[in-house]
Parts: sequence; C-alpha cells; structure tokens
Amino acid sequence: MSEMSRLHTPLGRGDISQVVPAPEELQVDAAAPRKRRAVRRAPILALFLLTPILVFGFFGHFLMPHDPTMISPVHALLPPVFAGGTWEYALGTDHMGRDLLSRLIDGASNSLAVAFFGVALAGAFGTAIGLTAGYLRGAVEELLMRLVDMQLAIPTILLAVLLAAVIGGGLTTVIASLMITFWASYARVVRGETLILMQRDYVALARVAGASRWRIVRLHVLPNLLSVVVVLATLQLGAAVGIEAALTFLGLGIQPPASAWGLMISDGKLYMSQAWWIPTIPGIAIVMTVLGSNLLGDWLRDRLDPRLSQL
Amino acid sequence: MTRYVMRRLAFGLLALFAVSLITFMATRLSGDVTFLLVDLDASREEIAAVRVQYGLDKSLPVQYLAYLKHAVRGDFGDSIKYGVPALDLVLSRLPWTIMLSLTGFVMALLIGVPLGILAATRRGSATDLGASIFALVGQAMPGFWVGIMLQLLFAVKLGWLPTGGSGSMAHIVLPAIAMSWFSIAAFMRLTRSSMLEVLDSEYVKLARVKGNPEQVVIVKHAFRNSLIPLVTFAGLNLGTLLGGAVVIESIFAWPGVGQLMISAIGARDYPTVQASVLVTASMFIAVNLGVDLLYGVLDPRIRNE
Amino acid sequence: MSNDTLLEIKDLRTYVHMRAGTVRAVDGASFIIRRGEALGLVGESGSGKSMTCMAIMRVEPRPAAVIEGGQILLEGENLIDKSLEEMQQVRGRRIGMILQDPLNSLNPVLTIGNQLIEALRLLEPGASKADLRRKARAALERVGITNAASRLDSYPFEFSGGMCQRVTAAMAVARHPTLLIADEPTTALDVTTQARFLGLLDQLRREEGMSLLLVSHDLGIVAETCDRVAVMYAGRVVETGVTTQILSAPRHPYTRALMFAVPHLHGPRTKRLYQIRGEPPSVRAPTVGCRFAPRCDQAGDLCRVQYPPTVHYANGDTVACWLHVPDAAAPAGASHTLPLQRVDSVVTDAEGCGK
Repeated sequence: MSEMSRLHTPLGRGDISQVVPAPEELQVDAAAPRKRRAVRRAPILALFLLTPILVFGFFGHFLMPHDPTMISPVHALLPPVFAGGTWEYALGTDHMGRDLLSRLIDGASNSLAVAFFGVALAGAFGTAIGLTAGYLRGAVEELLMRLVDMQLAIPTILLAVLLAAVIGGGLTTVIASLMITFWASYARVVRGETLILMQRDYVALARVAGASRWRIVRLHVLPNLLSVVVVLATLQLGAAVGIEAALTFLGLGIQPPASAWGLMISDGKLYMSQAWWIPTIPGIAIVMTVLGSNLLGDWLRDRLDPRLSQL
Repeated sequence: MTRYVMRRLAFGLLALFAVSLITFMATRLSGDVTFLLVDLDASREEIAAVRVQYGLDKSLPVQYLAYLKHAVRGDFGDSIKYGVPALDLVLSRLPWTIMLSLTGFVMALLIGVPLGILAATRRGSATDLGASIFALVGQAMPGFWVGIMLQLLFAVKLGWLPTGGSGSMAHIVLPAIAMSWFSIAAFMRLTRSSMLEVLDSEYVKLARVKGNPEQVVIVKHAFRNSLIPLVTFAGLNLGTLLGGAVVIESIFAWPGVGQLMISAIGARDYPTVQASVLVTASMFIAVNLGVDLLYGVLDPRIRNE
Repeated sequence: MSNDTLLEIKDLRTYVHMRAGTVRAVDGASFIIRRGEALGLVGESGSGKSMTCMAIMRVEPRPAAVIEGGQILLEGENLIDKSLEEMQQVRGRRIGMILQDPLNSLNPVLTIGNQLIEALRLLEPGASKADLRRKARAALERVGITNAASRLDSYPFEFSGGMCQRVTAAMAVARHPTLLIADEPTTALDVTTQARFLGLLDQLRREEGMSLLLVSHDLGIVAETCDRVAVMYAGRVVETGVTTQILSAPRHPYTRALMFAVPHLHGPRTKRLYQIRGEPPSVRAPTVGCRFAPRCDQAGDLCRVQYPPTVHYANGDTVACWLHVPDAAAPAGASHTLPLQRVDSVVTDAEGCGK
C-alpha cells in the first residue's frame, strides 16, 4: 500500500448548503491538432520563384531558343507574345533584334554566378575573420571588430564606384565589390556565435582533454556555425543579385557583349517609350530571384535556428 | 554620457580618415595621373614640370600627407574636366542630393512607420497581410528598376510627370518615390516586428493593467521602446540613401553629387572624384554619429557604457 | 450572491487557439472573493491561475486567447460584457494588478517617477506637475523606498528586483482600488525580499481596506498571507476553503497530496520526498470524468466517468470531488485515516518561518 493511503480523505466534514453540477464539457472545434505550421511546410513560394531562375542558370544553354548575341535588325523591337507578338520571340526582342528570352536565360547564369561567387568569397573571408576574433579574443578581437565597424561606415555604392574607378568595370569589380559589401555581416554574426559556442561545456571539456585549438575549431565550432552562415548566405544572395544589377546598370559591372539583366535594363531605358518590355521583363526576373532567395532564407532560418531572427 | 559621445566622435573621425586614405589610394593606384594633365605631345621637361607642380614626384606617404593637408583646408585641386575647384563643384551639387535624399527619407518614414504600427496592432488581419506582402515584394525590387518603371508608367505612358531634370516641384516626385521605395518596405517590416516584440512584453501589459487608454499604451510605451532598433536602422538608411542617390540621380538626370561622381569617373577627373566621395562619406558618417547620439538619448541603459 | 462578495468568477473559460490545437487554459473555473479578504489561488504551472487573472483584467493575450464563456462579476457587473473603454475605467481604479517579473514590469526607458505619475495622473487628471511629484514621492516612501525624491528620476535598471516590485505595488494601489491582484509577485525574488514584500502587501491591504487575490504555486506564502485559499487543477477550481482548514484538513485528494508533498523541517528525515504520481493532464486533449482521477489513489469508477459536482458548504467552502457528494456511491478505498501529525506541523511551519 502506498504512502498515499495514509492521506485518505475524511468524509462528512461541515454542513452542506448545496450541490452544484459540474460545468459542461464544451466541444472545441479545433480539438484535433492541425499540421504544424509553416515551419515544416516546404517553402513552396520560394521554390516556385527560384526554380525557373536556377534552371535557366544551370541549364540555360540547352533552353535558349535563339542565340542571345545574334543581332538581327529586321526583328528589332518586337513585342512579347502577350502583347501582340509571336511565340517565336516569346518575350519580344530588343533594339538590336536579340531575343529577350534567350538573353534573359543567358543573363541568369552570369548574374547567378557572380552573386554566388561574391557571397561565397565574402562568406569565407568574413567567417574566417569572425572566427578569429571570437576565438582569440582580446586585442585581436577589438581590432578586427573596429575594422568591421569602419567598413560598415562606408556606403557600398561608393566603394564599388571607387573600385571601378581604379580597375575599371567588369566581373572582377563586381565580385570584389560584393565581397567588400558582405564580409562584415558574416564577421559580426560569426563572432557572436563563436563567443556563444565557446561558452559551451563541450568546448571546455575538449580543452581539458587536451585537444588542440585547431581541432576544437574544426570539430566543435565550425559545424555549429554552418547553419548561421548558410542562412546569412541565402539571404544575401538576393541582395547580391540586386547590387550586381545596379552596378551593371551603371556600366560598372558585367560588360557588353555579355548578357546581364542590368545591361538589358539600361539598354531598355533608351527604348522605353517604344518597347516597354525591354526594361520591364528583366526587372521582373530580378524581383523573382531576390524575393525567392529572401523567402528561402527566412524559411531556412526558421527551420534551422529561430534565434537568428535578428538577421 | 560625455564619454560615450567622445568615443563615437573619435570613431567617426577615424572612419573619415579611412575613407580619405582609400580614396587617395584609389586614385593614385589607377595609373600615372600625369598623362591626363598634359597634352599628348608634351615634352619630357613639361611632363616633369607638371609632376613637380602636382607633387607627383614625391613618395606616396608624402603625397598622402600633402593631400590630407590640403583636404583639411578644403582644397582638392581643380576639376580636370571643368577647371573649377573640385570642392566648390561638389558643394554646388550637394543641396540637390540632400533635397532628394531627405525627401525620400521623410516619405519612407511617414509611410513605412505608421504602416508598420498598423500592421502590428492589427496582427493577423487583412491589413497586416497586405502590408507584409507589399513590404516583402517591395524589398525585392531594385531601386533603379523601380525608378525606370515609374518613369515608364507616369512619365512616358501617362504623361503626368516629367521624366527627369529638376525644374519644378513635380520633378522631385518620381525620383523621391524611387529612392524611398526600398526604405518604405524596410521600415514597415522593421517597425512591425519591433512593435510585435514590444507588445508582448510585461511592461506593456502593466501599462494596460494600470488603466491607461489604449493610445497611451501603444504610443508612450510600445512605440517608444520599439524606436530604438528603428532609429539605428533609420540612420543607416539615411546614410545609404545619401550614398546611393547615385543611381537614381543618373536615371532621372537629377543634378546631384552622385551624378557628378559617375561622370567624373568616366572622365578620370580625380580631384572631383575624391571631393565627391569624401563629401558623401562625411555626410554618411555624420548621420551615423547623429544616430549614435540619438540612441544614447532614447535608451538610458546605453549611456552607462 | 451576498453583499460582501466583491468578485465572483462563474464558470470562466479561456481557451487559447494555436495552430497546433486549442489549449483549454481555464475550463469552467468558479470562486468568490469577499470584501476585505485575501484569497490565495494555488495550483501547478498550467493549472490556469495566471490566465484567470488576465481574464479578470481582460488582458488575455489576444488574438489567440479568447474568453469563451462564464461570467466575471465585479460587484455585480459582468466584466466580460464591458467594452474596452469601460474596462479602462475598471483597470487601476477598481482593480489593481502586480505582475510576476518585477524587472520587466517597468518600462526600461522611462523614469520611475514618470511611470508612477502616470498612474497618479489617472487618479487626478487636473493636478499640477509639482503636486503629482509630491504625491509620487509620498507613494514611494509609503512602500518603503528611501531617498524617494532622487529615486523618482532613476531608471528601472538601477533598481533591484525587490525595489521594482515595491514600485509596481505603489502604482497598483495609487488609485485606491477595491481589489488587488498579485500574480506570483514573489517568484522572482529571493527569500528575504519575498518576506518583506509580503509584509508590504499585507500592510497595504489593511491600509486600503482592499481585497487581495494572491496567485502562487508556493503554499508557504499563501498560508502566511491569505484568509482563504482556492486550489486550481487543469483549468478548474477543485477546492476552496479557509486557510487553516485547507492546511489541516484538506478535502480534495489533490489538495491533500499537495500538503503531503511539502517537506517539513521538523519531520523525520529518513523519508523520501513525496511526489504526486503521474503527470498533470495535457490541456489539449479533452478528458472524461474527474481530471485528477488518473493520479488519485481514491479514484473510483464514477470518478473516471463523470466530473464531480461542486459541493458548497455553509461557511462558503467548496470542493469538487465525489468523495464529498452525499448519497453518491462512495469510491472504493475510502478511509478515515489522517496523518494528523504531519498536517499539524504544516500549519506550525507556515506560522513559524518567513517572518
């Protein structure tokens, strides 16, 4: 018999004035738990937006209906199929008779490649700096963080423009500009995460067990940083595409005769009044890419680590 | 508090130095400037003379110091393209840039922030959803493209507003909208998330429980506390607007510093490039400093640092 | 309802609608607070105590939490029927509230004086600034804060938890409400500060002649401060009664188990600490029968099938258990054994410490 048996309730204590029936059990409509919310749900919209772009980027060569660089004056300024044109030039042509759809597809691979490299390099560099700062602490950390702050004190476009002034426009300029723009965010975030991770018990244990610094970093810190870095990178991809487009538009980025969305827009600006589709359509492609990567980044962040919502 | 101010000031100066150094290096590294300053068929002696005149025969650190000395006095040399002192040129264009940036900034604040508050207080409603979608898509649109689309729609197709230039009040509308586009979306999102976080806090609950009218709760307690991240962001934003007016100015042929900078780069007009970069950067740094100080006023906890 | 009833909660239901399902935080709770009395509301986390308080003040976290039914009668007026403006008249003026976490209850960017004066200004809208400052200073002194004049210009982060809680107490009673709700006011404080604060609450209550609703999961605090106790379990009130009754002769098996679970300073040391077996019920899954039945040693078949009615005693005590319903088939295992000694020592302990 359990101890509780010694607690048994005494009966019949006190004068009863009334006995009130129990409250009814209300039926609750949403009693059955519904599926967990958007966190588990696949990022449908993001994928919907990004898939065509990615497909264009990777498999563009096989999908282009025409040669994007082929000039054909007789076919100049043809409208897209939904504005009176034909399926042969589904999205219309530009002032030089080049098929817009083909140029769009071609430009996709260029823009994506540039954005990807820029962000990847920025990420690698920034992570290294952040990691060093967070691990070594002290004066090194102070110095590096001051550098980060200073870099954030200088506006991007300015830097890009300066860079272009020095080395001229082109692929290198854009990638370098992207690197310079984005590395600081990584450094900051990675340092913060490193500081937190270093407090963890398993790091202390590893130290006590005599693990070398590098080993600790490799086995314990880096894998945990991965999620932060990936989220940040995804979010930045969209921004990178935007910046690349802006620089290219200004003439500082990808140079003709290569195809790039920014170039299409700057060309299109001149022929706006006659052919509204030339600047409009590439812009829509940019919006799709940026929006898609933002949504994907948000979903990844919610999935991997909701703590990061300040990013 | 004064310690805090001093630190931020010192920091700002340091950043300014960094910019000047970078600008200096940029111009010097892009090749021997001398050849731009002389005629093509100049003789050796003339070239040498020009080098001495511009101090280009000295070592780089010495050149930098000389450059700094002049810069502090406001002397950047004459614009190679226009022949007038570079700084004067830049300063003459500055009011235009400030006007455009400020208009865009104020627009973004006046539209974005109230929209964010509205979305936060009516969480989950149609208003909230609509505003959030607008913000999400709006932030994905590149500023320069928005500018062109606005031009396309309102100037070319509808003819309501001019395509560019700077004649009248009407001329500022489209560029200002284009500039503020991204910021409206960003402000709205930030205000909304900041407010939502604050609205959930205990002190807001207490403010309600004291019997305050809802308006007091929202404005005095909730909004005041959500201001802090907002101010930081707003400052950064203004700085970015000031620095990023470049693109919008080109599209709308707005006679500001950004446009000057672009054409100066094309013409390899280094004094002008230097002057415009430094002026723009200074404004950016000054704005950030202002933000830091405002931050100190808004959040008493920071003052103790 | 008699004239000395200040607040009556009848069948209150507050459900929280989340995407994963609906949580029945409060599911048919009923109790009464009389004028001038201190009622302790005890229960485990998740029993619905805090949600009940929030419902009374109508600050339930909308849009997720909704009051689905029941009545909250303040001197006869149903607070659930009131509009927002009408509730704003009630809050602070007729009912004051103290929250759990003192360091977060105060707005960090406003001075203490600013926040105190805010409450005072609601009391006297036309008063001058100097007047309000004077009154604010007096309010701080009343709750035992020294250097009141200079403290008015301090910020919450400069205060300790105990001091912050005193300030919130000052704000809560500034407009002389008839009822003060304290939702776990001492949970975040250390033991000594706890005791001092409870003393303050007691003092304020007597000075203002108000009723007190003290919510806590700490039986010791309730035992010391309250005249009567209401025990909540799984969103319902399972027992109410005079404090000494609850401590010495609790009626509901859950209450008895709670009493037995309190470790005693003076008891034999060889015993292991007692834990009520089983787990608190999931507030999501709908249940049949008495909600404590799965964990109750005296549960019978009737208990598992139908929720017991509430028995009201002449002195106002209530209990919701089949064991006390006359003419009901007595559940198996009922006995009259009472571990008298242990229960008496609970009462002594509560009176003895914490002063």
